[in-house]
Amino acid sequence: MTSNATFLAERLNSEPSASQITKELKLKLLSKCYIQENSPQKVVLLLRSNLSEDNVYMYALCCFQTSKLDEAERAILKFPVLSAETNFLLGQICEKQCRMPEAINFYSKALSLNRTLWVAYEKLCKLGSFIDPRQAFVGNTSHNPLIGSNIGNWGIQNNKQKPDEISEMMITLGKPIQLLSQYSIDEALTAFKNLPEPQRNSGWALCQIGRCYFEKYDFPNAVEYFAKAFQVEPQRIEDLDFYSSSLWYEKKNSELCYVLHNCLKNFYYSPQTWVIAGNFFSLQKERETAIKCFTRAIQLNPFYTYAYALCGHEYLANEDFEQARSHYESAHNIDPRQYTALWGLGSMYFKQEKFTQSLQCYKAARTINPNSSILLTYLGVNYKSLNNLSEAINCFESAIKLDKKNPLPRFQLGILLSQMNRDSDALRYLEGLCQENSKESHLYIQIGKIYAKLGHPEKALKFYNDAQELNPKNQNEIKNLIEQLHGNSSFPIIP
Amino acid sequence: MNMDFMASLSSSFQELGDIFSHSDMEGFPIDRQYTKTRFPLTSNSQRRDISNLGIWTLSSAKLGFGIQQLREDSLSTYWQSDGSQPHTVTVYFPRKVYVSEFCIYLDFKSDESYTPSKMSILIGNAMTDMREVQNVELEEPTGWYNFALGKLINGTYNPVKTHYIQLVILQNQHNGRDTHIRNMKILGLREEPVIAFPVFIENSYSKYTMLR
Repeated sequence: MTSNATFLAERLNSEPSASQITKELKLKLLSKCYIQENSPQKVVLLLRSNLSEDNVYMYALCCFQTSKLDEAERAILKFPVLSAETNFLLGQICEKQCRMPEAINFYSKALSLNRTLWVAYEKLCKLGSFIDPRQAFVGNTSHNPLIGSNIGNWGIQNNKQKPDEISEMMITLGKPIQLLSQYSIDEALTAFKNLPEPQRNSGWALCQIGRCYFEKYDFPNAVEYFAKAFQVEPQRIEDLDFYSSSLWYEKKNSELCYVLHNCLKNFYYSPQTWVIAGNFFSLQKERETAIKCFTRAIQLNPFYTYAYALCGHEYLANEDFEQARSHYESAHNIDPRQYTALWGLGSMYFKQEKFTQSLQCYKAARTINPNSSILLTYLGVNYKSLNNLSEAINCFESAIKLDKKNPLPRFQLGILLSQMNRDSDALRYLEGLCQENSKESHLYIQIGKIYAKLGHPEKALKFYNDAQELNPKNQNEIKNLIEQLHGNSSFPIIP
Repeated sequence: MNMDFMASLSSSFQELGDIFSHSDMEGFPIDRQYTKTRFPLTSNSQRRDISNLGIWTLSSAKLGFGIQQLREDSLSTYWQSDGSQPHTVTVYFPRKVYVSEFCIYLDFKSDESYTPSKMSILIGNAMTDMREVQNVELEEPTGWYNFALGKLINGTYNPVKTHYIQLVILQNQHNGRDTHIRNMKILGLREEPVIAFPVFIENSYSKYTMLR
């Protein structure tokens, strides 16, 4: 039917203008038809010489869709009065050009003009500009900048100072999203779980809860919620990238394969599908193929930060530092709050032994997400490499406080304390980890090393043997350690 | 007769001592200028072969007697220079590495006046800033000669980090013009790779090493 409408609109456009059917109206109709048939470039060519206040939004939107950012901005700024959606569009243009402060400005203007503009609020959260949700969705009537023509009903209701049902719901939905963007995960999680029943069971909310568990490194729960969301709303592709990453962490090959199969069937041209494929191949350790998939995702959406970061991780694992750096930096440029890209960049510098640069990256990542115990552990390891031992201890201790389930800060703190000859403290941490039913061979090796150092070869040998039992592949290292033990003491080694 | 026998025996013992002395060279720093061995030094827990990390340049070479022949494992092939003295071999390491020994195989019995006699080894971070660490004169050498590299402190050589190593052949046996070298190796310290965490096998540990 679209082509029929286009045909008729084109015929109408050729007719002379009448009083009821003005030239403006004809152009608008034809543009709408072109947009329907998904050819924004036609709209750009049609409207370029016939710009008016009425159709400038449509023109700018089509310019934006065809990546003519400058042209879109110039056209919008020709007209003095800007509506909420044009402000939003300007914000998107600025964001794509990495002009973040201006983008924040336009988004907040858009939100103040139209209080139901959820996307603008979401963008503000994403860019790290946190405004009170009540302020955002109800507004402050005393200085409400209600100018412009396209305010809609919400503006009028604001004047009555009576937040209606929809604004109330926007506030309850807005609060947890903001908390999630601030990485206050525990608060966000309780807020999401306190949402009213019907909303809480929607695909969107389930995905957000999954996302919270993902950030908490509680992957079994994350997987459960994402899977539920997938069941409730099979059309929901937006958050499946994080679902696939949770499955990647859990090493759930078959589930990942199942999700990928579904997505390839239904969303072949969706960038998320290719991120899922990349995660799948990454789990198989087929790094080259994974890189191809992530690159395809980036090709489908050049502003997909998560794909850039994941692609960077694969390049880093391949020790292709040049490519890794360029991907991490792209991710960081598009979204300055993408802290995993900063972490990746830091890890890359760390591998190259550029410890001061890696420290800067880790620190920058930490300002974005101060609640990540993993990030703090890496920061501590970095301080240790720079020989700043007191800072390293501080980092490990706060990392332990942030996430009691994360064994790595305790592991690292144990090694560090032993290097500082505080062996009894070190043993307290490491043996504490042991008692948590840990089956990690390296933990036993470290404890063994400390006992060897303290002159208890029989105890050391016991831990070395346990370590070997837990990881039979690591025979060489453990054999060397046992030989050293033998060399340093007269204790007979019983195999 | 008897005396002669004793002398030859003691000299062969000395040679044996020389030949097998590299087992006690496990540790660093190295306390002698160079050692002579029958077999090349091999990688062990402390040192490794870093020849392949470098980019090799010769001052000149006769066609078919170049880097390939110098670097391949065979001792029957060799590099032959084709130019005026001094002849040089320059190795550039793009990433600064700890170097400990420079090993070179010479064979006076086959190469005669092509065999080097006066040699000098330089190291430095740029070609304009090379310092001599070894300057030796060998008489009718045959076998592997392992020269210690590094900073000389109290008579011992401490391995240092460098970009460039250069061997300069100043003179050959019986004043020969061009030179033959049959094999060459550079050994460096085995460096501990910098890793934030060991490779954990338990997923409850390894998952915390990644931020995706």
